[in-house]
Amino acid sequence: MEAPELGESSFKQKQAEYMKRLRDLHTKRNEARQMNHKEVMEEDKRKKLPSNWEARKRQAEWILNNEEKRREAEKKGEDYDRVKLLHIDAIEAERIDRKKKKKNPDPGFADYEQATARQYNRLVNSMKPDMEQYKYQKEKMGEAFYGGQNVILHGLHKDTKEGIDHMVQDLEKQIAKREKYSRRRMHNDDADIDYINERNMKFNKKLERFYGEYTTEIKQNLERGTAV
Amino acid sequence: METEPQKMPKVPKVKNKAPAEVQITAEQLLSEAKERDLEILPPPPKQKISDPDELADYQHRKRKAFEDSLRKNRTVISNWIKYAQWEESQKEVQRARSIYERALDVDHRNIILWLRYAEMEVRNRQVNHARNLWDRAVTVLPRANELWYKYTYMEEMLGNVAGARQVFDRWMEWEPDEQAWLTYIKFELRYKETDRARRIYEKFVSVHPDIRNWIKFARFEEQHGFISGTRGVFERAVEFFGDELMDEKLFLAFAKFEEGQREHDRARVIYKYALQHIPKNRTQELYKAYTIHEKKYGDRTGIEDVIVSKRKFQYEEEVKANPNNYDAWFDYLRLVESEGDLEVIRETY
Repeated sequence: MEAPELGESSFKQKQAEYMKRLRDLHTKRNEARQMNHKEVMEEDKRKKLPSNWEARKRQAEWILNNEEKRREAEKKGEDYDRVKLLHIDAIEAERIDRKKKKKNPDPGFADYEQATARQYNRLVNSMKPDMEQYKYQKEKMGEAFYGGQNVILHGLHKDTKEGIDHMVQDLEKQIAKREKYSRRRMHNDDADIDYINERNMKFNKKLERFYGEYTTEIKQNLERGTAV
Repeated sequence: METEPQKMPKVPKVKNKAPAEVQITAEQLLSEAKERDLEILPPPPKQKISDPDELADYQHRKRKAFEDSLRKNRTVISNWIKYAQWEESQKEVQRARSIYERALDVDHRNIILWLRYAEMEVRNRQVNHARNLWDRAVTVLPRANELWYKYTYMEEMLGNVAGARQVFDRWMEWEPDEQAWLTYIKFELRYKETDRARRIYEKFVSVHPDIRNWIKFARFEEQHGFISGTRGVFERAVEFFGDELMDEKLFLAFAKFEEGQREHDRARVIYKYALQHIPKNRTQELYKAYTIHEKKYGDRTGIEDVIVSKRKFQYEEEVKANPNNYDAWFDYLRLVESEGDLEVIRETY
């Protein structure tokens, strides 16, 4: 009989189709699961990275690029710095220049007055004037605020606790900074001993400091026993 | 019979007076001495002070040591300072004060003593003592700028701006160096007192009449937006210096300012005036700046004018130096011809 055969075969076909679809769905589901899992792992890894990973990566890349360009420029025989400068915008160049101007290089010791003036300027730059207090005092003192040397300001100003605290803190900071100006030198045990006590040692070091550079030849001659 | 008791056995007479083969050196002596460690004493045992009696004892010992060192040599200021610092660390402020006063008796001109003394007063919050002390210090040593700097700093830090201003006024009476004046001006500007700053600048340029200071004054006016003021300052400077002491820097600054104000005609006038009035040997910079200015803002004839006048001057110099240098003469003539002024050409020939 054909109809049931057809029915049977179509049933089988349909069954096969359904099974196939089911299998497809299964594979899709599995795929989806796998992909999800992968994504989860990656996100987890990303969270665990240090916070400035991106920044560090960028910096590293920039350094590598820089090195490469430098090597290329050297191969061509150009001055790499000039080439770099040609690629910077004018505005950026100004900004970089302004940042550099802020530096305050130490000109070396000239005399104590200069050193005091330098310290004064540094301290004053970081001082923020209290304009409210200023206006209040101006009101209170009236004329005497702008008086010359002969105006008596004796009883007119009362020191506030905050003012004194401020001054004392600032002074303590100055003193702390001053302590760091000379450092303690290590004692060299196997250097030559040319002293008989500690005071003598310091004196010899002083002599070395002042006359050392001029007497090296004489010393060498004496060591050798004869002049060259 | 022995005439005198002999204390030492008889030393045999030295027969061989030649030097030994191996001599010892001074260095070897010293290093051997160091190795034997003869002078090293064990450190005294560390004692903790547990009651007021022990403290009194310790202080007594230390004070005696300090006073002894002072008695040995009272001019060594560091002994005084160490003593006073120690008393400060023991929180004996009155004693520290008396030590500093005694030290000032020894040497009142020593700035470090004054500075340390005032620092001690301030550290112990004795602000009025400090004020009195600073007053004395600047009266005794008015030319020591360190003292003035620290005094004004202290007054400003305490918030006593009027006091600081008064101290600055007293300081300026002594007409100190330029840095001091600039410090005062900076102080006034910190509190936005531009009028007072201007008045100080006026006094400043009269005390230190250097061209740089006039230029600084003008820049100050410019920065605060007083354009007519700036012009006035420049004009006064020009008048003040007259012809002999005139310097190109002033004119350069003036012209640059006018350029900044987009007053190009005035700038041109300034340049011409300057070139006329300054003796020629100091006008290098001025010429350069003038040509640049014309290139930026002038027209062709202007530029040519400037360059021509420059070359003319160069040629004049050359022919004066070397009247037989015919090449120079001919170059000069050609230049003058190109200018096209007949009379001048005839004269030159």
